[in-house]
Amino acid sequence: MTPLDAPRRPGIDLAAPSDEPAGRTRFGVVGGRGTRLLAGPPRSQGREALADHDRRLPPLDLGWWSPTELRDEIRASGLLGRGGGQFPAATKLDVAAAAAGTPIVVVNATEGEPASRKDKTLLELRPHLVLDGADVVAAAVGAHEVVVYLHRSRGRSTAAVEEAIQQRRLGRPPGVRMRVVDAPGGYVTGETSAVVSFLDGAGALPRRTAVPAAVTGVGHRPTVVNNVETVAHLALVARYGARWFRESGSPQSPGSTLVTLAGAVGVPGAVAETLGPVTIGEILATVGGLDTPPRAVLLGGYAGTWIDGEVAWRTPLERHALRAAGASLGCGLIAVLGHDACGLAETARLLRWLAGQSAGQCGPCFLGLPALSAILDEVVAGTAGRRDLRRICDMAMSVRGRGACGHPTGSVGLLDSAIETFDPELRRHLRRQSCEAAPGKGYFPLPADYRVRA
Amino acid sequence: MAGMRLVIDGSRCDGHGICLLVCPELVSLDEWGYASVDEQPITEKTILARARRAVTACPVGALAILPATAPAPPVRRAASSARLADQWAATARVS
Repeated sequence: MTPLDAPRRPGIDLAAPSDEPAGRTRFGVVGGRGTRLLAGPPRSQGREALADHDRRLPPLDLGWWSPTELRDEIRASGLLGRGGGQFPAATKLDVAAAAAGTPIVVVNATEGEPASRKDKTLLELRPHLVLDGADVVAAAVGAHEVVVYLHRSRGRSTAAVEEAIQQRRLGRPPGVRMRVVDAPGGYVTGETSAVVSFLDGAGALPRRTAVPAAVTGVGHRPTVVNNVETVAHLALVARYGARWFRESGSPQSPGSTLVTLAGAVGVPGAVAETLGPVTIGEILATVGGLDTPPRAVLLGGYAGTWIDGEVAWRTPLERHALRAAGASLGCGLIAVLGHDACGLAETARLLRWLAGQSAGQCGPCFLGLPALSAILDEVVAGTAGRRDLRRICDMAMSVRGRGACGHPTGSVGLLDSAIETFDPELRRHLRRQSCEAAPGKGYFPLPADYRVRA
Repeated sequence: MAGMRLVIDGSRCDGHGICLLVCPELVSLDEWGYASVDEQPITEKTILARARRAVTACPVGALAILPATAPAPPVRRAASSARLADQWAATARVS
């Protein structure tokens, strides 16, 4: 009898509805009746205490599984990493388990994407679910040490995680040691190689590595770096099994998905969990409070991809459909641009910020991105001509694919998709015609303290 | 020789440009002078020899030659040695 049969699937009520009406809620559910990661007490009650967590969910009996069985179950679940790379979670675990040395588990809670709130929401409301997931990862690779890598200025998440770790220490047999590590701020500090570099005592800078961190990372030990949402899913996979997990989502990317809405929506910063195959339009209608397609949607984060609003409205939030539209779900950010804004101006604003977020290691990134941003600013200001547009495209070509991490490539992707999506606006700006948007009007939130690298 | 390739660690490259002089077949410089490298497997013996010279010529150790089957680029050095290399590079540029 596998651990999945019999008492593993009790009649737990997963369909705990939120207490707020749809459209106004920050805590929405789209495409299905229940929630998974966000199930439990409503947001207004704050973080779930250990006792409530234990009462709500069946116990997590990791002693029941051998590490191999656990990894097999995770492989069967088909869970893809939710940090943006969509890397198969099981592959990372298999690699770490097979590598030499005792692995170390890192829960990557930096969530450096300024508008994304899904990981913060999970940590603030369901810290024990996340830490359960960290226990699952540790058990699956035989690790004894878990590091929650977190930016301490995120006061509420930090408090929730630290309190949760404290609560778990009491009355439980000592097993896995957990600690919080204060991550430096910045956009690229959450990149896996930067996380490893920081935990190794060097700066949180991305490195180009010959072997993945799962083979050799912190202190030359196999290092499993997983996003908060990924480990939270694993806490449920270990309880309810892979088959249950695959009941939601699509065959290509199973499981529910957390998304954050930003920009021209009812409640910017709303976090929703999608259970079934839903279109972006359905999410925007149900949680975002929109009736008609917006001008455009920026998917996957600020270094993501613009999609025309009409197209996005009917595109399913599913890996293959998004790839066909040239986009990726990334960190789950759906940033909405209204008809009253200029996509080029907004792109210029984001690109300037992205350029300032370069770690300053690779020339094409710390020189190329500010140069691109400067030309785009001129285009927006109406002082650029066709030649400058050609120059922007040439320069984008020499930045794409360069550098030690994905930052320059992602930033150029934003620019590329903007040039494609906002063609009418671009023509207007090149003809020095006025643009309907107020200059510098910011739709999408940026960290207040950002500086532009000189 | 079969299946070797030249790879670059872009975070080390400081744009000295010596690699271009040594091995123009595989290296090109962008408009800021930073090298980008054709990371396809090297088929010609003479080019491989030049690539090796480019690796030794690079003042900051940004280049490496790896078997084509290896997943990715240069091995990350320990933080301390990286710092030493940076210091060395800084002094090398001054002198």
